[in-house]
Amino acid sequence: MGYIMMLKDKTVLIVDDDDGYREILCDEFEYAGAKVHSAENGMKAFEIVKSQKIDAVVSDIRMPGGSGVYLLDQIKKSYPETPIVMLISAFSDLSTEDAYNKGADALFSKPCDLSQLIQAVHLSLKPKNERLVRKFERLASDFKVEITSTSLKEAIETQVLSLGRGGMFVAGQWESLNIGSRVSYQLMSNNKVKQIFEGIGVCRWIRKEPEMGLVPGIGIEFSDLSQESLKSLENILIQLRPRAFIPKGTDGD
Amino acid sequence: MSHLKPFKVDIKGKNTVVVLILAAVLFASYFVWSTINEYESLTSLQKKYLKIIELKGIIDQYDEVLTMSARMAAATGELKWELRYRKVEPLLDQAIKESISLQPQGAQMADSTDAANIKLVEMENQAFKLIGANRLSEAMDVLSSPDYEKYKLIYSTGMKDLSHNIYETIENDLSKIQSNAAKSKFLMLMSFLFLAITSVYFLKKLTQSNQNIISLNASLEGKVQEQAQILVQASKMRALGEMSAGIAHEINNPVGIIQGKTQQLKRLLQSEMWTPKKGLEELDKIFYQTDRIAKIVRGLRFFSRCNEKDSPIPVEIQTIIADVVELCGQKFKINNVTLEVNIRSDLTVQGQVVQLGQVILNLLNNSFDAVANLSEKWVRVSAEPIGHRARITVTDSGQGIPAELIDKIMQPFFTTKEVGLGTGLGLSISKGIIEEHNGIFWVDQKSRNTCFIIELPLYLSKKDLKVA
Repeated sequence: MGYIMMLKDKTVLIVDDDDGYREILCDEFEYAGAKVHSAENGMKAFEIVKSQKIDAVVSDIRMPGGSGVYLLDQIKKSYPETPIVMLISAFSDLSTEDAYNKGADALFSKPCDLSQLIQAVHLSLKPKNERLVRKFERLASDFKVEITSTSLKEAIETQVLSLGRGGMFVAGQWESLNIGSRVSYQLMSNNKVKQIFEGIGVCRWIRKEPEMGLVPGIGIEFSDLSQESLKSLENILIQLRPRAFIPKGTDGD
Repeated sequence: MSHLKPFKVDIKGKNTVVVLILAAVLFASYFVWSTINEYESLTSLQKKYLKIIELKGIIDQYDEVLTMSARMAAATGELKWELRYRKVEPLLDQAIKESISLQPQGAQMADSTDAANIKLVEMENQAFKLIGANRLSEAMDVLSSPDYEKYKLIYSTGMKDLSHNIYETIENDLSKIQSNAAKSKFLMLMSFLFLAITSVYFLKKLTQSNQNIISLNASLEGKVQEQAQILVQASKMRALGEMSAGIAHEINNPVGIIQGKTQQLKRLLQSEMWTPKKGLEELDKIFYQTDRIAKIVRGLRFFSRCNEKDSPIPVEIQTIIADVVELCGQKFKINNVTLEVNIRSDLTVQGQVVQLGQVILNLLNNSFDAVANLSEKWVRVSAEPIGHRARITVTDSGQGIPAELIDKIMQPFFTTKEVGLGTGLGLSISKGIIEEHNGIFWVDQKSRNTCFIIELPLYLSKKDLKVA
């Protein structure tokens, strides 16, 4: 098992109403080296977040006595830097779009691969430059998204894209793009690549038609960014301070 | 799902009918027009005919009067005869002129007749001169001379010809009218014929449409029954949709636990901490989770069967309700709605398990919706025997149903839920299902809370019947 001691010295809060499942999660996170707290609902979990130093939270959604959505909202309101990984399913009351927009750092659906869940928590605890700046190869992706704008700022102002803490929304309609595909993106102006913002990400959701006042587009989670791109991104995020991990649409968050 | 096509009674050959009616109307109006014409021609012909007869009489008479006057004047020498002659002569002239005017246009009196007339007048004037000179016998000679007789004959033949001509004209006119009348008869017949054809055509079409309507009615009845079945199925599917989130949650958890436990077991097997006791403990935990899944799947059997295949069987009410609670219990638990179940274990009814389960599920879902937002949230299900019947009661913490809505809630498509939340079919379908099971379904108005009651005949086995 590759994740032994991966979360050494980290404190993780596990929230699930199912005793059996909570026990499994606790066991695995302990095995990964984390100090573990647990709660059976969102309300109790938030009490723990308030009273203890918690590095990351893993939470179910449907729970009697305070749902995961309540916990997500509370944490992102009071402790926006604390990563939270949500266990949602296709039947959840919360859509993927909404979960990322509310600020969830990663989403998993039950039953999930526990090693991947621990990897995700591990990744979410890393600083951005360690997490995002990796060996970046321009063409190593399934799909190319070109953002026509002279700067990131202009792209945001013209509502071509909106930025979140860990990803972005890009307005437009793309054929043959799938959820989970690796996507390369770059700013383009006069048919030239602007190196200030380019990278690779994963398509997390697709809105094909306009919905509830939101324009069509895709939600991309950043995975690899050039050093220069990360710098320009960080500069803008300092000003924007978005709560969303991936914003829902052009109205931002 | 099949859709009903909008039905239109279609009379084919609409154009043919219009043409037939138009033709009938055309013929009928032509018939009326020509009949009026004939009547007018006939009236004028009749006047003409009478005039001719009158004129003929006048001419014959005046002619005789003139001759007689001349002769009497010659015989007696009295002046009064000449006076009479002079008086009548213009009258005769006028009558002759009138007769001529009645002749067909272009026809003229023969010259010989005209000449004879002139000659006769000359001779008579000559006679009157002789009478004036008192030469009476000479005057008489003139008037009885063979010449006078000859001209008289020529004149009278001419006059006969004239009247003959006129009669001929009249006969011509008459035959024209007769032929017109024949035409009118034909028109009238045609008009009747077309009307008759139209009527027969209509009758035929009506019979056909009637038959169409009868067969359509029959097929509609079939479709309505089909749709009713589809509705029952649809309400079942809706209930399933509502349940699926809870079901997914319920199944995903044990699956996740089993996955995690097997992973841990693998690790344990490879570690120094392994003991058979520890292994068995972990395996027991896994087995417990599989049991959890099996229970849910058992609850799902309500939705896996089609109504038609679900034949009535003796079934314990406790089993039905336990399966339903298995399905929707999660929803109640998540939303902090207390669900109390109190069922006697010995109550057996005969019926379609799926349908009865659907009724209970529907009532539980309704109760859930009604109390979800109240501060006091509970739903109670109980069953007890009342004589030869089993009474199932579903009560919730709601404040009851307003008296004015009691009758309406059992009607199809009536709903108090927000748009999109209810189809308004649940209670009407439930009532239908219970009645099909020879049961009764009503709202207990005496209860302080919202309370639905179902009564079903208890199933009596052969053994029970013998004892009874």
